[in-house]
Amino acid sequence: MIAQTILSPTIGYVMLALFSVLWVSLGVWWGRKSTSYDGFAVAGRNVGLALGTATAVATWITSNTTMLAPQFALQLGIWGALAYSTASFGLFAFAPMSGRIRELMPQGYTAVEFVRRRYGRLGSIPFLIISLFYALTWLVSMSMAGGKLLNVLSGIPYEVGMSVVVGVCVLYTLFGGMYAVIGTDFIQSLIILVGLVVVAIAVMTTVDLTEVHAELQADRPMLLSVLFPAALMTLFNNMLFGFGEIFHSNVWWSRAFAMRDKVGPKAYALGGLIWLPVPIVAGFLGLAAPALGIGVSQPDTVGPLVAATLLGSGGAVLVFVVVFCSLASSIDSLLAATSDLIVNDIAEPIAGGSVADAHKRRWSSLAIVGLGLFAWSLALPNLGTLATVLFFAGPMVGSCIWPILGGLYFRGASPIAACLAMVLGSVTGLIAYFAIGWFTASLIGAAVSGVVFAVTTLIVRDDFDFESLAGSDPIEPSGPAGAAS
Amino acid sequence: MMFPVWFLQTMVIGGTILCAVGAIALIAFLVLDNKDNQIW
Repeated sequence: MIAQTILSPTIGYVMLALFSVLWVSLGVWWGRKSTSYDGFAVAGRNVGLALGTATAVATWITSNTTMLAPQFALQLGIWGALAYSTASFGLFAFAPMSGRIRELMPQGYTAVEFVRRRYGRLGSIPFLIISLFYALTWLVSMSMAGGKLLNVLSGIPYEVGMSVVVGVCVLYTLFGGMYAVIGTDFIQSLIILVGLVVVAIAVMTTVDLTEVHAELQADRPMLLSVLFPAALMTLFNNMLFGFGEIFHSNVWWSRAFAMRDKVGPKAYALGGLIWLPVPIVAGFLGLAAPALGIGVSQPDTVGPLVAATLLGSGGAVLVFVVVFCSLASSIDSLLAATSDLIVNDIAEPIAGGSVADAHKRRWSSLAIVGLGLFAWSLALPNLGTLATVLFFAGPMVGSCIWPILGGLYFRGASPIAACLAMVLGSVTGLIAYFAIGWFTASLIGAAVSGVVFAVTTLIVRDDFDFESLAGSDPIEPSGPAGAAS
Repeated sequence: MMFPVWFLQTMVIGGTILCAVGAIALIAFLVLDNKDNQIW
């Protein structure tokens, strides 16, 4: 436990209990709608613009946004805050793709299902490994962030905070499936946006922006530098990491399947627009720290510390709620989307064919509980090195960008090209991660993957029939290279 | 070369306004969806 917290443990426990009861109650309430597997996994495929937009915003505002964006700004300056906001470009780019996904696979469930039917096993095996690695490391890192943040903010022991956050998310996802995930995302996105606005206004009324600028100019001029090489590299790296995360992750594909026809492109574009300023406003808290004379022992908690120091107990409560919502909105999405992968892309193919809805619904529940236990058991020892494992996923997801884009839009994209692009891009990106630095890994992974994908497609071309994706999943591809016809 | 103070002001104040507009927009979308019975 840290020496001084910004909120008393009693208030922390009360807030934790209140929001836990709220989310679980909403999960049970919305769970009444999820009577079929379609309802549970993709919310009946009928989600409208309001909930569609909100779920894009809330899911993309992870606790990393509230923790890492201020840290980026504190360490990389203005470019750091701007670099983090480039992750919204992934949402913009995914907007037209979500329409295409919905059109090609109106009965689809997962991203891996698309890759399996588009590229066959050659593409789906590396893609499934990357998807699971990313989803599980993100889930564990979010669980750890939950325990750590609640501890920093209120002194609640790490083990208790982490267990409650994971347990609550498992419970309401278990009861309500995608209905509960998307419904709570709406409330969570509103709380986060309003909370950030209140905190930013309060900070701006306490410290003048010219003072912040003057302080930075005098003591940390590099943070204001237009030509800050590491920060510029981070900008492109973060943007490509964002593209890779969104293009490949079933968290985003499952929402594309869940949204009503024609809603996805609008919801993702609007979601990107609403998300774009969030890291900038959160990052400002990091930039304001030196001007406010706030000592920061742990850089990733600078945002909450600045807000709570300036705003007192009211601000601390607000920050606590914002952080709890950021965590829940990501963890529930990961639980739901990853359980879909386990059911549709591992269990169902192993079972050897199409499985009844009732069985899939039961398997989903088991998968959600299993994922919760997995995340909880890995997060419990609180090994700092585990959280950094998520960054290994950067080059891996970056190497999925071109195979996904090519697979969605080009008949000629071949399974061998997709497979080589994912494998070679991941390997080269990981080498760059260790040999050069984390801020180059996604960039190099995506670049190598793009070149390999283009060259191999020129040599080995496919002639894929996109109409073959329209029906329900036959589990196994109907021919070599994913049903060329 | 450094970012001028007006850039910082535009970035922070603009970002805060956009966040507020975003929250209002979400509520407006919900009202519109509700009118057409298209929330779910």
